[in-house]
Amino acid sequence: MTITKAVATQAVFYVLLLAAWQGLYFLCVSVLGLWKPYAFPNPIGVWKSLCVLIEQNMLFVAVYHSLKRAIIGFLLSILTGVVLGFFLVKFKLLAEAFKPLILGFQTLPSICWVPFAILWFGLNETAIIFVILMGSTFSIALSVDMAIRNVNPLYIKAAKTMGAKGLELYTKVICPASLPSLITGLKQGWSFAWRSLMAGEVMSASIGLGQALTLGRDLADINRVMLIIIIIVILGVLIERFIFAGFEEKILKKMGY
Amino acid sequence: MSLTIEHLYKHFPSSTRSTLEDINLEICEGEFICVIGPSGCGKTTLLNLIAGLELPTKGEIKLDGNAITGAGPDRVVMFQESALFPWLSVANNVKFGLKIAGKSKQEQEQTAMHYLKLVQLAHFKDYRCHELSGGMKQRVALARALALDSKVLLMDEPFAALDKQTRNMLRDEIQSIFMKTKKTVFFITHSVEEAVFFADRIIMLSVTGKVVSEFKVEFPRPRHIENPDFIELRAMLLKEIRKEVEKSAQSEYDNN
Ligand SMILES: Nc1ncnc2c1ncn2[C@@H]1O[C@H](COP(=O)(O)OP(=O)(O)O)[C@@H](O)[C@H]1O
Ligand SMILES: [Mg+2]
Repeated sequence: MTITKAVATQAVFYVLLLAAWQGLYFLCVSVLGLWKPYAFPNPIGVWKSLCVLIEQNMLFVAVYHSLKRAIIGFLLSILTGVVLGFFLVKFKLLAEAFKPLILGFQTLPSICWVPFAILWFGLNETAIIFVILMGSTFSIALSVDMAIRNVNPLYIKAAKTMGAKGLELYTKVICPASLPSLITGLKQGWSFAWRSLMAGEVMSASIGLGQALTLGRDLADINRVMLIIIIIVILGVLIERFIFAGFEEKILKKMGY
Repeated sequence: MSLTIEHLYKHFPSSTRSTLEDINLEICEGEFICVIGPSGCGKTTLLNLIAGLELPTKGEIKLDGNAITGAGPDRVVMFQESALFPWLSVANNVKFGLKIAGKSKQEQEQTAMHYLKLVQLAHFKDYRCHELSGGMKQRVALARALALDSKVLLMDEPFAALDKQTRNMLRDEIQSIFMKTKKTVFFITHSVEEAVFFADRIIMLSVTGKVVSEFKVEFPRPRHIENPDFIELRAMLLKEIRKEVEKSAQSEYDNN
């Protein structure tokens, strides 16, 4: 009951938002002439763009390519991030020296890696994957490090007195104990991966949402640009809501957090 | 089984003085030892040393003649907070140590159920720990510790985080469990009443981390706190411990 109510409220909200947007467009562009039509997107124009892109089969192809890259890049980032994270935990002295560097890399906007990637790999898939990797690895590494460090030492002590040691301590205690914060870290890593993907795609010319965005600019079609932005937002929300949140909730519930 | 502690010293590098000084103790098979003393006197440190979670600065702890060099399942610890693993069910918590010891599935199941019955929580075997009350958690923790059948069971103020009513109920229950299992127990508490209730022998530590006195308690079990002998011993110990606390207040006062 409450769920349908919430959905209904949201639906009403978005319909009103669209109406307000169209109204604003009508007022400012058509009546008062404050802006030129090509500088201000409107819902009807966005809808038309959507129809065109679907008709030309451009939309699904772009979404498919972008998602594929994002997933490959993200999985690779998990791999390198987890390895780097374990390294930070295991070698404390080196980690102290490396951490400021890694923190710096994490705050570096991933678009900065684009020129580098193009010089290394050329304008191709690998370059974009590389940008994703640089964009999300460090964030994942830092959260792995943090998650492991924050495991309640009482659990480790208890496990030790029950005979656990070495690798078993990791597989049976440290991993499950740090899982909730690990998932939070991965979620953050995904959002970095997604942003980096866009940076990479906007700069390169491979088919994808980022390129569709640039194309919209080249055609001076602001409705198309707006449409792609909306699609990027929707995809981000869907993945966050239905993949990570579901996963998170299931695990956290099972573990009683 | 014999646990001997010889000229044991513990000095944390970050501290200005020794936490424990020249502790000598011998614990025999089946004995229930209670350690009391003012807060901060080093009770937990002593337990951690026996558990092998800390290493002594000087001196030695031997279990059956072998020096202790690390933690191990022959000296299971039950902590003040339950330290149950939230990602495991009640039964799997109890099986944890058995799994590590490489026991068969069947044996794990049997042992776990045996001890869960002993603490009267067999019906809760599939529950998650967060679904249990504080007292129930400590009972699961006790079942988990007992399941490993360690040579000595180390308990660090296991009831301190519970409310008074739960504590009193659990106390009776645990007394009857230990009358059945006859385990060797090294039990830390700041409650004199608890010590008199459980102990065969009470060790009192001073604020400076030395053993100040030892008392044998020879009341028959099950014990009752209303018994006149019980009340007398408790009053005497309380007086002793108050003296210790005053000494510590005095020394702090002198230092300022
Ligand atoms: N890991 C540690 N590092 C430094 N000092 C410690 C450490 N553990 C305990 N201490 C010190 O040792 C003293 C005794 O602590 P503890 O054994 O926990 O006392 P109790 O359990 O009797 O209350 C305290 O003064 C405490 O500050
Ligand atoms: Mg203590």
